Amino acid sequence: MKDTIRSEWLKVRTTRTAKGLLAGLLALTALASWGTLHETGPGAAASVAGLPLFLVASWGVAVLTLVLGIRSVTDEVRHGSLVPTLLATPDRRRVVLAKIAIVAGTGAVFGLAAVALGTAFAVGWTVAEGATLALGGSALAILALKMAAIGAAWAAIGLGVGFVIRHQVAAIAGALVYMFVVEDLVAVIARGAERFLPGAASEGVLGMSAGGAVIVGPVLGAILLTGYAAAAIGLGTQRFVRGDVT
Amino acid sequence: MSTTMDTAPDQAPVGTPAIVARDLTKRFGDVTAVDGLSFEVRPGRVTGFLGPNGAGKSTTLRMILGLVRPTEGSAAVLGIPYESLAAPMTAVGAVLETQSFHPLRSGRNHLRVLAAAGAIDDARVDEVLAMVDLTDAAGRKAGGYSLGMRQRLGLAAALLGDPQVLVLDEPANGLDPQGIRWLRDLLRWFAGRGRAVLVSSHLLAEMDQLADDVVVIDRGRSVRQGPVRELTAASARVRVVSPDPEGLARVLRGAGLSPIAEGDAFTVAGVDTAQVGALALGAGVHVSELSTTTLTLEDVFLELTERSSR
Repeated sequence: MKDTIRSEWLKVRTTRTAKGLLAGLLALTALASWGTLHETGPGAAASVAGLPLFLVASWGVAVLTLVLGIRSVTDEVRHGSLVPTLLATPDRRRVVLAKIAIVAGTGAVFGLAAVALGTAFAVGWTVAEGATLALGGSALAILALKMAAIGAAWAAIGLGVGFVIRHQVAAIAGALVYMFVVEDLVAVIARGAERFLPGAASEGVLGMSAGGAVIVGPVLGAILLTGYAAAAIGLGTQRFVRGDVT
Repeated sequence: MSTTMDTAPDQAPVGTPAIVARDLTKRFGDVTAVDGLSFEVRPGRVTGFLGPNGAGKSTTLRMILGLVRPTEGSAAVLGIPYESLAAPMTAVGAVLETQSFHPLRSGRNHLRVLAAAGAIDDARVDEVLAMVDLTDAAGRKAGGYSLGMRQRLGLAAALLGDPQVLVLDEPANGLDPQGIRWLRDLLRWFAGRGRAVLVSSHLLAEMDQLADDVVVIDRGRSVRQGPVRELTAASARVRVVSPDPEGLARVLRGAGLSPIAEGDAFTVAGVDTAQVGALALGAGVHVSELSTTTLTLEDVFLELTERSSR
């Protein structure tokens, strides 16, 4: 198993996909940090961990780790490298497990990186403005944990989506449409139900929502998000293990 | 040549065929791509896998390698289903597609990824890169490789585990004449070490020079298999010319043969020159030319596949 994990890790390290997505996340986090701090300052936040910039950063983590997960499968399908992958490791469940380990781990790093950059911006802004805003060590540690979990969960969801929809453009486009359109539509059609959907569950984990939208608590959010990740992986694995690679 | 691996290589008992396909059948909906196909590939031999486009060659190779699930039948490599091999890369090296790498990954990194999966030391990556003459280009992105370089990168990947069996799907595509000769020498060298090669190709003249055995399929079914020399020898014809063609034809038909007129000559299958000479002599028919024409693999292939499609 460790050989398969090492191989998957080398795949991530030897292309620009993960690096590019991480750069995008950091740019988004920087923009969100600068924008929210410049516009509203710390707002009602009691410490750095409560800054709204982390809500925007969490959306970035969700979207970009989702794409990371999708691409870890669809890149292989698109470029034909799935064949040598399966020739080297014919046990497809082992391939799935190794991908989960690497993609979820990388997703967690994305979450931590967003927190680190957001915190750096917040501290810099506090110093520059002469404002008083507590760093809140334990709250910040919990935030980091939550963002890492969000990154890992969305990456796993993406992995499952990639195994189910192997066409890269279709999988990414479908995922983005879901993230930016479908959950909002559900909120309009069946108000209240949307809080149980993955995007809102992710906000529930974080404990922040846009415009005071109703969200579930962190524990239920974590359970829901884990459940969605498990369901996506389960469906994807079933399709991947049984399917033909033609 | 050495490889470093954590997993013990799969060992087949002596005498076990390198590959065994038994009644392999694959249906995609209503379409039967492979239909009850059985054959064996023996160690120390190059086996050509021939068939027209769409005959089911690639599907068969993928079933052998566990990529496509057979609807019926089974396949084994070194006596073991591919999915159950403990160290698949030391058992089989395969090239199924011209491009099977991320275009933005360097050739060396592509091989390192596969070597890691097979617990193969990185030093072996440099060895196989040298074997396929890609050392200088190893650091470049593989997407910028020419078609021939891509084929050689695929072969390098197949050779990583120093396998017992090579399975190659149209490996000569994109190779220039020097490249084809290099490939032929490589595969002959490989088989010369007691290892097995199963290679599909549409380059029949090339296969005529390279293959020891052939499996010819059409519409998913085996139409002929065996050693190339036996196949071509069995298809040999006697060419006979006589100043009395009508008399000669009568004699041959009288002996139960089916002479085919080709200009001023007849060709006759199923007999040798001595038999035809004796028949003509016995009937008092003069013969001005008597020879054996040996068919090429291409002739045999075309004859078999045309017969199969009738």
